[in-house]
Amino acid sequence: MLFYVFSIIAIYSALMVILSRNPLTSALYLVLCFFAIAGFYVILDMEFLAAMQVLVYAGAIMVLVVLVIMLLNLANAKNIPKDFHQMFIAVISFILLFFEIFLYAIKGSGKVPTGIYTTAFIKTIGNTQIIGEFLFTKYIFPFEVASILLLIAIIGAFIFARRKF
Amino acid sequence: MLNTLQIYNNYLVERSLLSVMPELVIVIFAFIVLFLGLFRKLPDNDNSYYLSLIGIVFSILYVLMLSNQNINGFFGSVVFDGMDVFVFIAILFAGLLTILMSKKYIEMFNLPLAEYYSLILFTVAGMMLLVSSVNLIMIFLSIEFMSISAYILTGYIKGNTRSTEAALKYFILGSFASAFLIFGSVFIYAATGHLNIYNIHNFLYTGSSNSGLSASIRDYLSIGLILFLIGLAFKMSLFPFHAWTPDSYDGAPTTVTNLMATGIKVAAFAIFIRVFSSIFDSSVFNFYNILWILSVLTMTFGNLAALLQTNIKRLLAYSSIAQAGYMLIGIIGGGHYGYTATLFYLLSYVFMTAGAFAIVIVFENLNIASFDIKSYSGIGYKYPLISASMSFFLLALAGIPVTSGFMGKFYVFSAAIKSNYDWLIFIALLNSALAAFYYIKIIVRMYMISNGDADQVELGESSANMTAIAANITPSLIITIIISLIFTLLLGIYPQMFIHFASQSVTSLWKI
Repeated sequence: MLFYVFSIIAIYSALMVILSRNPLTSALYLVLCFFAIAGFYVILDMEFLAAMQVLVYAGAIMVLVVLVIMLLNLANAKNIPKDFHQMFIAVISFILLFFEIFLYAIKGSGKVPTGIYTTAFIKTIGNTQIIGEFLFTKYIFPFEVASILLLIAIIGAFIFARRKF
Repeated sequence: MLNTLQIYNNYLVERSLLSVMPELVIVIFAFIVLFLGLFRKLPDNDNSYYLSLIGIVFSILYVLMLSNQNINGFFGSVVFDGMDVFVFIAILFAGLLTILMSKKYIEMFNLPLAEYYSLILFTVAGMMLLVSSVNLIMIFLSIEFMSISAYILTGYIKGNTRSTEAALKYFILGSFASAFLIFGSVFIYAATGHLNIYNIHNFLYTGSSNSGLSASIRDYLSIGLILFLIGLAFKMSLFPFHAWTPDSYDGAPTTVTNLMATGIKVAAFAIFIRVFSSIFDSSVFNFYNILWILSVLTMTFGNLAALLQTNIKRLLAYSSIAQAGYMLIGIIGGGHYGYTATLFYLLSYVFMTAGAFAIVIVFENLNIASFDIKSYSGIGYKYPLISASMSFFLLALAGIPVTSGFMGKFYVFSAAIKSNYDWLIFIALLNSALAAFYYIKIIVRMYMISNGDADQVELGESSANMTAIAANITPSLIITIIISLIFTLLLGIYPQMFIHFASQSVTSLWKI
């Protein structure tokens, strides 16, 4: 039941992000969308992930987005001409993707988590500990690679943003 | 030689580190190059250039040292096996040639050098990680690793609108493709419950041998695998997902174009072979039909579009799309022989393309010709040696005998004939003939002077003096061209050694 509430909120707010004319409004709808997704994590008994979602996405990243919108002064961006080719392609791809999600929902059957980490076991030791253990044992290498990836992104931002060499 | 694996066999961390040693060396050197750029006091000379060359050579040494090992590292995130050895050599050569050819070129633009060289090294490390990863998370992360460095390098010429536009297009379409890739991974994970591709393989194998996979798993898996294929097809620049290729190849600095055309394509094809041979199970869905259509469309579109180009970089971009179609034929042919043929084709493609781009850079440095093919007319008489080698590389790309391009096409086509894909080969042969037309058109341009261009050429002749040329063609560029020439010829006249090497590396794919 809660799942449907959260998914309706998430889809509605995601639609409003792209439909609303005012950039600031869409940014605020994006915050709502992030909160709804955090709700999914709570349903899945992943409180830690939900907290992280709210802190990182709804908190830190949205501040950046709003700041950029303020700096860019997007008042002139309202008069963008509509392109009907784009709309045509968008409608087709929307239908295809929607069909796929529909198939996914119809064919899908409820899955219980398999493996040694059952829901009851997770509840006894807490999911923060499990995420930490996995990050530093089984997925240590992807974790390290991601850190180098972020460093490269910083270098790129630096190169594109600075004025003079 | 000291068997390093035996010593470290019982120590998990050391073993894991050993499995990523070649990548690690590259990353460490990239950091060193980057941090040397911090010191303003150091004279701005060739430190970063030489250091990155040393890094690449060290990495090649490590690959050779570990070449007989088969190491699983980091709890099934990465693996070092024979497949890695072959593809690493190809990628490292692509990186080496790119660094060699960028010395003079990148100094022309007055750009920061340390960041440039370290980003090239990071891109190479990303490609190598991609090839060695056997985990869906690792595949996604290393594709992003490789691509983000490539996006930055594409837009590296600041203030040049073409370069910035190319970077933006590449970035937006690339992120879109990554979304497809991760969406596909989610479906695969939902169907099988595993992230490691060998575990997925075992899951499929035991499932199909016991009672057959259930219908819902099959649906999920086929959707997931097709989405995964789309994400990878973008990096391989197959036809419907090629839209970024001409623009970003054209706008990027020519050295970066070379890295994208050789390294990224090799890495994408290698990981596709690894994934395709393990989890693209034909009992789930007949993927060969999809690949068949993709291959035909890619070849035909690439060649037809290349016919119409007047800009040499765009022409090479479309020709690289067409070449991707030929490479796919080997994978469609399938089996041991087909994968061997594709790997051989990839290696020969690295040297052909690197050579052609090196010569485009020579012409660009000399300011004697723009990217417009028209300005190439009559060059053959003024710069005989360079033009002769350019003709050689173009003939190799067209697939004329004695060159490596011919042997690559020969092996790829014969693999497909073995699997009875006669129509595919028929279309591919027609395409090769079409392709030969536009490659030879450039050669004809270089050696024939039409009436309209005659006075223009005379003007050029009077101003061109040999000292200026000698100053502008750096030794590193000559080394690049010579290495490419030697390997293109060697792969063409004595392919047995390389085929043997490739077939050994393909064998390791089935040692799960």
